[in-house]
Amino acid sequence: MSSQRSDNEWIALISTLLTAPKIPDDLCMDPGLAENPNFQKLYGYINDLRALSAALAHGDLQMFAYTKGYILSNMKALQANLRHLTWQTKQVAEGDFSQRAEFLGEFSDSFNEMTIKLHQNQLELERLANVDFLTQIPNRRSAMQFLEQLFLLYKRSFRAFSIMSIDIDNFKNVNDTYGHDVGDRVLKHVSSTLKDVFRASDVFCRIGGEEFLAVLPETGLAGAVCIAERIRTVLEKSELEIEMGPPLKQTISIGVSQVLPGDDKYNDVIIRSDNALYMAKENGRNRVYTNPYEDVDELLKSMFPSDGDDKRSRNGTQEM
Amino acid sequence: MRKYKFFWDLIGDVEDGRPNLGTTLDLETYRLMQFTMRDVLEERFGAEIADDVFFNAGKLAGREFFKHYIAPVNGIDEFVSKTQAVLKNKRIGILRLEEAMLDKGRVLLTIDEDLDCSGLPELDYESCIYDEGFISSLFECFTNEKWRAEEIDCWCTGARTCRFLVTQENRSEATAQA
Repeated sequence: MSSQRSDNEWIALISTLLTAPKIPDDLCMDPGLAENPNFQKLYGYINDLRALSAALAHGDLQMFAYTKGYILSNMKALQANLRHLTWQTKQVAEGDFSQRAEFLGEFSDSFNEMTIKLHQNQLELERLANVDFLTQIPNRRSAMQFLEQLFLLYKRSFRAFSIMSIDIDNFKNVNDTYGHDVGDRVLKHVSSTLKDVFRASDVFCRIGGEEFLAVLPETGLAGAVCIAERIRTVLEKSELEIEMGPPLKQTISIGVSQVLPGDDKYNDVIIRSDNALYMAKENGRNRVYTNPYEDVDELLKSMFPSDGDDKRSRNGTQEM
Repeated sequence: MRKYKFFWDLIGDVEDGRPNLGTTLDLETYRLMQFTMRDVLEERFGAEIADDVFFNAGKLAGREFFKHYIAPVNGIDEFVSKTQAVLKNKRIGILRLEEAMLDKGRVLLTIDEDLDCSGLPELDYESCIYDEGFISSLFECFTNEKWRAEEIDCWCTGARTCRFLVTQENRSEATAQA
C-alpha cells in the first residue's frame, strides 16, 4: 500500500469505505490510491459488498456480484436462498403445496406452517365446493364434473353409464305440515338412507331442493333399474321419527336413463332421465320409470320373468 | 472393441456385496479417488482434456442417473421435486432453484453441501466440472434439448454454495440473459 499514508490513515480509509453512507466521489481520484492495485482490488470488493448489501436490504434479488470472498459469498448464499424462496412461493401460488423451506431458521418454520395451512384450507374449500351443506353428500357441481369425465371416457371407449333422477314425493306437504326443520331432517334421512345403498363407485348427489341425481358408471339400463328399485324399496320401508306425530314414511320417484350412442353431451342423458322422472310422477309416484325410447318393458320382462308384469306401477304408496 | 463401456449393472448389487460395511462410504474416500484421477489425467493429457473427460463423465452419469432415478416425470415441478428428493436422499447435495425459465432457455440453481466441493480450500477456479456435465445431462434428458450448465459460484472460489447457470445451447446468449 502507499507509503504516503500511515497505518492509522489506512485504517480510517477502510473504515470509511465500509461504514460511510456514501463514498466520497474524489476518493479514487487520489493518485496514491488510483495507482495502487491492492487498493483497487480492495475497493472493488468493498464496492460489491456495499452494492449487494444495499440491494438485499431493499429486497432487490437480481444483482449479481462476481467478486469472490467470504463475506460476499455468504451474502450471495443468502441471496440464492431468498431467490429460491421466491421460486418456492410462486410454486405454492400455483398450487404446489409440497414446497418446504429448510434454510432460513424461524422464517422457514413460518413459511412451512403457512404452506401447510394453505393446503388444508384449499382442501377444505374444495370439499365445501363439492359437498351439499345440509346432507353432506356430493352437490350438483361435483356430480357434473364426474359426469363430464365419464362422458369423455364413454366417447373414447364406449363404457356405458346410467343416470337416475330422483325426487322425494310430495315433499312440499312435509314442509307445509311440519315446517322446514322437519323438511331438512327428511332430506338428511333420505340422503343418508340412499347413499348406503349405492355402490362405492356410484356418485349420489343432491342437486337442489328435494331433487337428487345418481351417476352409475359401468352400468347399463337394466342394472340401473335394478338399483333404482332397490333404493326405492329401501326408502319405502324406512321411517323417520318426529316429535309432532307418527313416524314419517317417505317415498321417491325415479327416472332412469342410459347413455346412448347418439348422445352429444352428458346433458342428453340427464334430459331423458328427467323426462322419465316426470312420467313416474305423472303415473302415481313411488315408482321407477325409464325413457320411452329405452325399451324398459323388455328390460323388466327379462328381469322379472315369473311375473311378466311391470312391478314399478304396483308398488303401494304411503306418501305424505 | 470397448473394454469399459458403462452399463448400470456394473455398479453391482452393493447390498449383497457389502452385508457388513453397508452401501455408503466416507466422502473423503470418494474425493480421494476423484481428485487423484484428475491429477493423473491432467499430468498425462493436460488440464483441458482432464476437464473435458470430467465434464463428459458427468454427462454420462447424469444420463444414467435420470434414466434410473428420475424418469418418468411429467412437467418441471415433478422433475424438480423428484431430483431434489433423490439428490438429498443419496446425499449428493441440496438442490434449490432460483429461476426455472425453461421457455426462455435459462435456469439458475444452487447445490448446497455439494458432494464434490463443499469444504474445499479456496483455489481461484470453479471445480465442479463433473457436476456441470451431470446437470447438463439432467436437463437434456428432461427436455430432449441441448443444455449446458456452467458453474458461476463455487466453494473453491470462496462461495458457500455452488451456483449453476443452465442455458439451452441453441439459444442466443442475449435471450438466456433476458
